[in-house]
Amino acid sequence: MTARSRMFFVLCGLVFLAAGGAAIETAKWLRTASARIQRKSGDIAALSRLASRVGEWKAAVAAVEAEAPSGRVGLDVLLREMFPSAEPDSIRETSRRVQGGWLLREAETTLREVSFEAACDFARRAETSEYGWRVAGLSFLSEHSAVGAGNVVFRFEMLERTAPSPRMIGEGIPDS
Amino acid sequence: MRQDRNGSLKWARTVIGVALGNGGRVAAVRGERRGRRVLCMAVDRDEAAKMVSEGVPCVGHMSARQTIARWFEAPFESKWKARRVIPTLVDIHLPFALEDSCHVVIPGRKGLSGRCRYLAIAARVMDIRRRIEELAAAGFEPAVLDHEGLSLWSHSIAERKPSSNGVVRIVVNADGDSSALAFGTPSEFLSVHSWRTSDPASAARIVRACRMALSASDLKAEWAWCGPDVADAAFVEKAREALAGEWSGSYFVHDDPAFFLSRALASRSLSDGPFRCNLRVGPFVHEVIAARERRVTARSAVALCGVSLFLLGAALCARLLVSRAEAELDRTFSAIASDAAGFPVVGRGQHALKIVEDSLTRRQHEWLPFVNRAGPSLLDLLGPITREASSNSLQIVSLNLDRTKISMSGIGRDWLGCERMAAFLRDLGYQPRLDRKDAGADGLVPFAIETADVGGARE
Repeated sequence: MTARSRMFFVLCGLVFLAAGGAAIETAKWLRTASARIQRKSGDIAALSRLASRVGEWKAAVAAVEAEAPSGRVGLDVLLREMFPSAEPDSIRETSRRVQGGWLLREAETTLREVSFEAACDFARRAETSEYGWRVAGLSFLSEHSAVGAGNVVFRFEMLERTAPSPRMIGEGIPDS
Repeated sequence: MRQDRNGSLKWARTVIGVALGNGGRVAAVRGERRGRRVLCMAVDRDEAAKMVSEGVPCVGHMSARQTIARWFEAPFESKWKARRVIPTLVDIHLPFALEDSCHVVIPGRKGLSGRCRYLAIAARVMDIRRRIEELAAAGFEPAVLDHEGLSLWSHSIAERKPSSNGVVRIVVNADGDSSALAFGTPSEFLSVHSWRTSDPASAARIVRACRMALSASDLKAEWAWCGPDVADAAFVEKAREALAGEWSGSYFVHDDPAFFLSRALASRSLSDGPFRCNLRVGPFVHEVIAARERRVTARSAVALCGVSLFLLGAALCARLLVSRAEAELDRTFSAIASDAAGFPVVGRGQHALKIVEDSLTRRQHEWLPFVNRAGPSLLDLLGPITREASSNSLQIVSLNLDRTKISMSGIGRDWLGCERMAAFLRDLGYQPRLDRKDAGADGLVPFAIETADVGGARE
């Protein structure tokens, strides 16, 4: 082997060593990259779970948008009809504007010393299209003397449109 | 001049083996490798010379008279260490200056002491030059100059296996003044000596000396005869008697004995095996071998470069692909995070998740009325809860229910009922936390169940 060819061979050897070093370095890097990718995939999965809530919320808005407007008979009428002895301050109503040109009406109805079944009937009738309310929460506290009876507080909600639907004018549903 | 080439011409497939014998007599064979076998065919001298001139590699030999073969033991058990002192040891064992010779060092089996043993084959530079000139004068340009003793012994073993491991194969090459006696066990070459057919007594003396030197009185000899003079039956009979008197043993004549040495030369150069040798080293390296080495070196270098480039390319590709995959994941994450949060989220990982979660929590009260409206009524949930309480003999004292959480308290007949109620709520998608007290004097168990806020995710 001449000096020139030996030099060439040594040069090739050095290139090979460099390539081997690069390959080993890449293998090490790939190990950490693999862990990083796994972590990022996990983060995306967690994020997707959170984002799915937004999707559900958007679907809910779209469903409400598609609903026909419900009746506007007041809850006090139904209350007087079902519980004639109910006190006049049994219903407290408030309202606030929410996104997309909607008005949220909230009504808190307190029923004292009633049977739980009767209270549920009241709430069920309030949810019919005639009244258009929807139970958002309830609180029941039984009496010591009677099983299945006590004080019941219902929190009703009703959504009313106050402006044209953004969907109808082609703007899409705003996120917030 | 030390050799690094073992005399293999396997790449050539066909070689000409030339034994230049007594009085310039030439015995030539054409060796051809077919798979793992080598087929040899005697050829006419002129035809052989013509083939060599056309480029077929030629293998010649250095006679026993022109070479020295010595076994020596390195003072180390490590081959690596032994290799470093070989030149000094060879110098000691040669009767001429190392720099005036060409030599080959062949590793042997380890000695009884565990030290490395080597066989040194050497020839003077002037003898090698002369031999090349002799062969050239005969019309041959040898690419390899093999050692006669090694060739005789190894090919004799290859052509006819020894009858047992406890024999010494003695190859008698009868070729006038160029005769040789090669000694070896079935696995190891021992020595080679020149003699003249005109003086069989000298051969007998060599045999006696070898037998004594080997301390091999209990070993049987296997006499293998070859060479052009084997055709002379009277001579063989006389020589056999003289030699058998010194070391008795079985006797046979190799097939086609006149061409045995040239056959050995051709076969050895075309096959693998131990004790391969080429004394054309240093300035005597044949151009065919040098060119072949250059090609092999160039190919190796190119292969090395190719592998290096492949490794670099693979490393680069792997990095590029993985980086792209990571960038894609980052883009996906950012897109989902920004979409969910409602504003561009710059952060990454857990920090970004926290930002998105906070954003959703902040906006939850805006969305919940719509979820409430579009989803099933809470009253639909109330029925199953009260039924479950009743079936587990639980009496609910207080119940707070909305779309994101439930809290209830009451009394039950036993702990199991409370557990079942908690399990029921868990099946509904809540995360209940059950708080039980010990049973009172009436045997009833007070309990409280509160679920974590699920943020509207239960639906």
